[in-house]
Amino acid sequence: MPFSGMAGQTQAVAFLRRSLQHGRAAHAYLFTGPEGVGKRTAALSLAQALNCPSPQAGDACGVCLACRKIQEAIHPDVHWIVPDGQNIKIEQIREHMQREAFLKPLEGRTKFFGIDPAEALTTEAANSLLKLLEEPPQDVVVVLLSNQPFLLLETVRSRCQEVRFHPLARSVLASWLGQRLGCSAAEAETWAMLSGGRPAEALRLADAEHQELRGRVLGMLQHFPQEDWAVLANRWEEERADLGEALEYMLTWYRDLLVLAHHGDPELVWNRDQADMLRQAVAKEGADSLFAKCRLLVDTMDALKKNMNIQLLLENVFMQLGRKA
Amino acid sequence: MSYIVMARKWRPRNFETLVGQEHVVRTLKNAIQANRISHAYLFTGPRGVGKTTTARLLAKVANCLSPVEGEPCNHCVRCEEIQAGSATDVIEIDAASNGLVDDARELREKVRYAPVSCRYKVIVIDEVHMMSNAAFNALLKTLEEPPAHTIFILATTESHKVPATIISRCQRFDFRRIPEREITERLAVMAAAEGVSIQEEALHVIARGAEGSLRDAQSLFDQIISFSGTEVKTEDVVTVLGLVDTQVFIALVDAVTARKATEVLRIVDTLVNSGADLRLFMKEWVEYWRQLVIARVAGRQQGNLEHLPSNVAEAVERQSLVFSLEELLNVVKLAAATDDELRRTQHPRLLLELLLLQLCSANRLVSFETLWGELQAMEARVAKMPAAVQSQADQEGPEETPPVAQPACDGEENAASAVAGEPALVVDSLEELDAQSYVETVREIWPAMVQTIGQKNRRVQALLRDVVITAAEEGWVELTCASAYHLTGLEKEEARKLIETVFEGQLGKQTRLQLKHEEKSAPLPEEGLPRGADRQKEFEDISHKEPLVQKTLEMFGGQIIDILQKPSAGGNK
Repeated sequence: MPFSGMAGQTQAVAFLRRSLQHGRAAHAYLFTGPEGVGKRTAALSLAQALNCPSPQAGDACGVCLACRKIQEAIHPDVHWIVPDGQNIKIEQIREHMQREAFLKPLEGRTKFFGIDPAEALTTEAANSLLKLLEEPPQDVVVVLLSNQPFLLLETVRSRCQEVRFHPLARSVLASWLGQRLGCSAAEAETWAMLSGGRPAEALRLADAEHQELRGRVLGMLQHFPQEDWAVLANRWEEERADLGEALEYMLTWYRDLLVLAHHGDPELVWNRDQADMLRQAVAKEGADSLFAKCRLLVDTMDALKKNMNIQLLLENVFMQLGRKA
Repeated sequence: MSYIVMARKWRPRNFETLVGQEHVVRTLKNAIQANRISHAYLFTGPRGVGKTTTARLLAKVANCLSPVEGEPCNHCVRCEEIQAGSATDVIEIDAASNGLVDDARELREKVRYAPVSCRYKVIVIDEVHMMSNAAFNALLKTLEEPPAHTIFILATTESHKVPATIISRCQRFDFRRIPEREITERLAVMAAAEGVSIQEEALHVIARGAEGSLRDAQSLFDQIISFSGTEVKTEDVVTVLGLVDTQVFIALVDAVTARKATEVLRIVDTLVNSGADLRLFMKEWVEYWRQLVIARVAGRQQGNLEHLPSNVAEAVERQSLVFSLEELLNVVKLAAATDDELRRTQHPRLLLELLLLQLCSANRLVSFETLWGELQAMEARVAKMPAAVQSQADQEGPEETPPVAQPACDGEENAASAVAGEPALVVDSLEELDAQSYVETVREIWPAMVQTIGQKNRRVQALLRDVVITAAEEGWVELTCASAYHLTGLEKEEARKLIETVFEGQLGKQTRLQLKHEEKSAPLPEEGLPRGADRQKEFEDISHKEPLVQKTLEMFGGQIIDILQKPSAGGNK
């Protein structure tokens, strides 16, 4: 897909296209931004623009043989290096990049290497890239993709031009979702907000299964606490798989209440489809207590990633959430 | 379309154009002029400050046919060969890709032969930290006593990964981060040569973003030229770097100071919708507060704010004076903690909002953390209380309990009272000023209050007739009675409750009573040991009726065995 077909990311796309137009394409790029905002799509478009025989204004035509081959990942000059198991290993770099990079392009104009995701590179592999990134042979372009660029070696980052990909603005994503799913405006905006502006995530959230979970969590919070904390903790411990997501829903709920408690604009609320429920709930609690609950949930989600005792964590959460303000 | 990026194109070709490493350059130049070139060098330092460049320059100058004062001539055959990378005697090895013991053995073989055309055989081993241990050890002997005409140059960003046995065989040079000013100057030279017109401020922004690495600065510069062509404005730099306009920080700090949560949330919303990278934002936000700290500590005179545009410098100065140093440091600490959390979360926006709301709603920005610490310490004390009280009661009788039981009662009533206790904890100078007027306020409403009390209990009203309000603060009022008799009457649970309720109704705040009687008729209990049996008796009566003691007895079901008076501890118990 050429750049022109991309959703949002106008800035990044404009930058890449202008570089191509001015004939100043760098040999090493680092595409950063959250998961699912279009880094991969953009890298593919760049590969096309670099190899399309008839590019227009820095963009590929998208219909020629080269463009289609790249789209199908069968172009001989476009290489994707992805984790073999957990990591991208030094053998992969040696085999697929270091030898390949010194050969002339077979069909196109440019040898393109996409490393996805760059944080999967082992230390050895990343270091072995350094010389290549700094002074590559002619006609080689390397693109590293990463959603956690701070995990990369500083020496690697310093050799690349960083192109940032951002979450989509609410209105842009919401209208895109509305068209795609045919849902109501409130729902589309809710998903746009809950997904943090990431199209792929928004689609996932809109799925029936996730909707059901969210409904259950918000239902529980609206009449909290109907049950004893120990019972709740037990129940959620059994649903370990959904726990992370459930905690996120809880967090967004309390965040919305906090915003309302501070007399924030109702426009800023994330759970747009629950506006009435939120309005009722906000009268019952003070901002301080809501803040404490948000903090509690943030810390819990953090602790969950660190392999803590889930039962204890959950008991703590529900006990404190149930506390009267 | 063989475009060469600037960092490569502008790699220095002599020591003079090497920026920011004077200490290295001077030593090397002198060594060359004195013909004292060592056989092994180790170059370490952060990324992009000139290690590989210096290694190549050293290779060049060592082999140059007509060096001028320690500089390569750049015209002779050798210089040109080396510049083009075609010299057979200058070998550059990427240790990250060729760092195994076999590679080291191969290298040993190569070193054995004399140089073909050059004077010295120069082996540059870049990224040397990636060599395997076996490879390092295989090189030890060669590195210590290499054949004549051999120079080893090892370059790395991570010298701690290089074995001590290697380091001790090399002359070590530590490369420094390059100061912002020198980066700016260098960029200006490049811009002029490339025919790019760029605003002074834009250069500063790039230099700051580069964090002391010239390569980073050059990459950024390159990127910006790709973005905006030959006419570079500061806005372009800000856009490409994903930086946030400083005005946003100024507005945000103003909103926080004014406690305008609504405004703060709105700014964050605009920020997110404009596509700002919140992780990056956070980094800059910390940096902005750092500016405030600097301004607060050093003021403007020292030229600390010189690098800021004048309107920003003014705002920084103005805002820094709103806070105390402690406050500023606390904010920086909080922000740094959030910065850390942001890296792990899926919802950076949410965390940022939490932080800002925390700042908005903190009672006094200054002491929020201190206060929070104190509160938690107090809660911890309260939590431990029953146990402590019990054991003490067992050992020494209940009389020891009141001093410790005091906070227990506060905590007992629930968290709300602990929060209500807050202002008392942080009485600052402002409140002290208010204290006088507060007493006046209480005195004004006092007659009306006595009336109200009279409607409920005549006896108490009678007892209050000669009472004077001697001191008052928020949440606390001191009444002085005419005699011990009055005092005893008022100390009764029933009377005290009634008065406290009326106070609460009138002042809209939970208020604690402190009662005493005039010193003339009898000395205050805290002023010394009781005199005589009468005094002791009276004292015991009071103690029995003291609500704290009663509550303690009720909670733990003890009985009073003996009553002692602590000479130093306050309270008439």
